[in-house]
Amino acid sequence: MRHLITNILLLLLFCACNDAPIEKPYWMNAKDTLYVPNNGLVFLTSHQQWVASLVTPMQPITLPIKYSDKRYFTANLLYSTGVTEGPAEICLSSGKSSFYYPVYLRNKKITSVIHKDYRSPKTVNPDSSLHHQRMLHNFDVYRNIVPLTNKNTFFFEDNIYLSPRTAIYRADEKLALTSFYVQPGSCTTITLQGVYNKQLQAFTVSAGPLKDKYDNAVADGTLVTFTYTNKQTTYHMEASVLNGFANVNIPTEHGEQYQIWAKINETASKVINLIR
Amino acid sequence: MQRNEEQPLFLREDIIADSHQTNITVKAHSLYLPTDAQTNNLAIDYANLWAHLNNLYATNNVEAGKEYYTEDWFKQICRHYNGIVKTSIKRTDLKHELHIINWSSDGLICTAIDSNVVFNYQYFDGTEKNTKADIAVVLLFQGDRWRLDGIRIINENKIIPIPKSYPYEDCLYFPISTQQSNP
Repeated sequence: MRHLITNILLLLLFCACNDAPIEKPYWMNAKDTLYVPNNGLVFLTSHQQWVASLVTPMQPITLPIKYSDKRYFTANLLYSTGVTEGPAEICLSSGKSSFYYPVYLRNKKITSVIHKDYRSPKTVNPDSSLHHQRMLHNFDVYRNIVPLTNKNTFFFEDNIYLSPRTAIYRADEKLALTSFYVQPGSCTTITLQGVYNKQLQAFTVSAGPLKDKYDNAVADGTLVTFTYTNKQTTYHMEASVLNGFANVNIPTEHGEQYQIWAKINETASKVINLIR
Repeated sequence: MQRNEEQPLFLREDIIADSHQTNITVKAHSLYLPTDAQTNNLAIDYANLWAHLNNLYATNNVEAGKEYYTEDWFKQICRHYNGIVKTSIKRTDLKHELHIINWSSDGLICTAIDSNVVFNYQYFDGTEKNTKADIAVVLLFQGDRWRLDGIRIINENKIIPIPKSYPYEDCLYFPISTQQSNP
């Protein structure tokens, strides 16, 4: 009798440890392409304790569950806005059981497209080249790459030639980060003028306007070397360009007269005479 | 002021990337061609990126791979972050053919199509599947590495093992669609 009771207890324990397998819930509103956000995915099942997740191509998103009655539950997709589009899985888990429902995931509302226009190099000097590399691609607001407008491709690049006018340009007018620069080139001609300044008792010599071959003012800070001589002694004086001009004052307290010329690198002006 | 006790990246060990293995070939079709050293760096960073993308897929741990994401991409994945979870699917990337479509002359931007990517998915119930995918990626070189800025899964198809009777031994897999057209 004692053995019988023991056997019955063991049998009951064995039965308790071997739960009936959970059946895969039936997806009532199943679809191949799932647009998010979405009102909800309705599943028919007799089981009650489920954990639902949407496994996107990049990351899992836990879905809140609402049980309607003993037969249905709804996995809520209202908060799943903005996903990486592509093949995904709806995953339902309960204890040691997991069930999968493959879907193709799309975003429901794409309100705007982000246009990317990368330029290289960032700084162009017309002495060397006005050539510019332009690379185009588009994203939606959730960083999914989308095809380019009027082109059936994701990526595009070409070489463009920039205007030689010195300026700071922007590939996208609204974004300072897209700025690129056309610098002035080297000075091509130097015009020199000198006048006697009685108050200073000096010759005021001006080189400018200093321009490159595209008529841009030479960069501020460019060094101009003025060389002047009275046929006995030769002197140098240096000045930086500001707004296309470089100026020096050459003292002439004792009525000296000079010949003077200016030079920027290998570009030199004509020689002029400084006479009171 | 609160101090961040996190060690700088070069002092940290990246266990996820270090334990990851895949097979990547890189081919350039761009106007400007990367040097061999640049190509090699790209391949290493791209492999590490996928180590972290697989980890993200399995755990939603957005933090672990943040050094391989641009700020915009990081913001995107944080949109769905509610803590680390453990999914019942494990993804492994077995093979990549990275075709560089655009390469900026300053070496800071790379757009590419990763074609014939072979993924292996292992499910909680012990089942597995292999897929072949084409993926478009935009990578930016920021800091000292390539980072993911955007992605598009162009297509992904399930592939099944070739029957033993299949005459071409060097082919391991073929798409379902091919099988269907040759009953």
